[in-house]
Amino acid sequence: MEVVPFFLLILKACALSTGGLGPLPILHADFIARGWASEREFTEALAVGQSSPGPNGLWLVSFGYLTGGLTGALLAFAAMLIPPFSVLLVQKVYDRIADQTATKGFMDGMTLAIAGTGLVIFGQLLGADASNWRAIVIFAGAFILTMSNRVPVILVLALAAVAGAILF
Amino acid sequence: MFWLWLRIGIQSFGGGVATQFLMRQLLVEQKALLTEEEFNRYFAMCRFAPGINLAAVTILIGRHLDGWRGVVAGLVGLLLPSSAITIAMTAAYTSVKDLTIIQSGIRGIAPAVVALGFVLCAKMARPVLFSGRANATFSWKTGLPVLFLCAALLALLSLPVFVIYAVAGIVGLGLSLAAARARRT
Repeated sequence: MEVVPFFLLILKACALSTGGLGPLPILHADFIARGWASEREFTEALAVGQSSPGPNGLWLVSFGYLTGGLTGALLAFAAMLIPPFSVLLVQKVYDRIADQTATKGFMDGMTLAIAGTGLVIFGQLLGADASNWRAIVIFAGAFILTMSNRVPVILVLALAAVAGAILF
Repeated sequence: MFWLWLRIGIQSFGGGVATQFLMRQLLVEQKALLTEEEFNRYFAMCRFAPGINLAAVTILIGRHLDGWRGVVAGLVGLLLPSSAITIAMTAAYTSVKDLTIIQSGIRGIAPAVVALGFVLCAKMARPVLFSGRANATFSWKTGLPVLFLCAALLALLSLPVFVIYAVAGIVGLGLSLAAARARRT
């Protein structure tokens, strides 16, 4: 693992996005292009990240571990800590920018872009299983359970794992 | 302060929403360290900052409560134990990932992660597409094409993601300014 580029790529993905899962599309493009991670490692990291306590963004720590061992996990942890400090700058100008039409318009457009590109990246995580009926059944079940808002995420993932162990 | 954040960090199974819920419960309702208004205002500020929103809000609240000591106590308490648990869970998974039953289980988890991701994307876009406000930047008629165009730019042209973010942001900015001008005239 090349320590500096590894750290900088995660830092870049965090600095150019917002929210816990926001770095996913940029990180996916950079790491897949370099052959530093597989689709599977993204899936695994997201699953662990969703199952562990704390913010959603901790999937990055799991991803760091899977692709770079303990050093990778620590680098990912350090990289994800830096960009949120820019909120202190936001705090200084918040009253001037918060109600600006242009600011809101830009943020709305960017939110749609994060959602749209997110759909593509999440879709790609299925890989060859995208046309497998077993995967489609599990996808549909998980989608319905998640949309219902009544079943905890960790239980949805546990049920999917059991279904996978039985069906595949 | 550290113990307070630690409680939030290790109890919040279920991701960001659970963490936000616990923060509100402990800091606003039980300990009354912040007013509801301050709490909401800090969360609103985080929408404008890059990176993990919960880390950003922890920085703001920590600084409000105890200066830079509060920031360190907040980040360490919230993120260090939960990150250590995440690393331990990943390490445990790595040691058994080659077992056939685990491989099958992970093959089952992948479609569920995709489903969670799709729901998350939908929840992210919904307030923008269906706000119902007169001064909204997008309606679903203008917003959905932008969303799917962004998806197509990535899927078909493999444009760099941050370029797509910037283009969509500029489209939103242009639409909001045009709508504001139309309302004035």
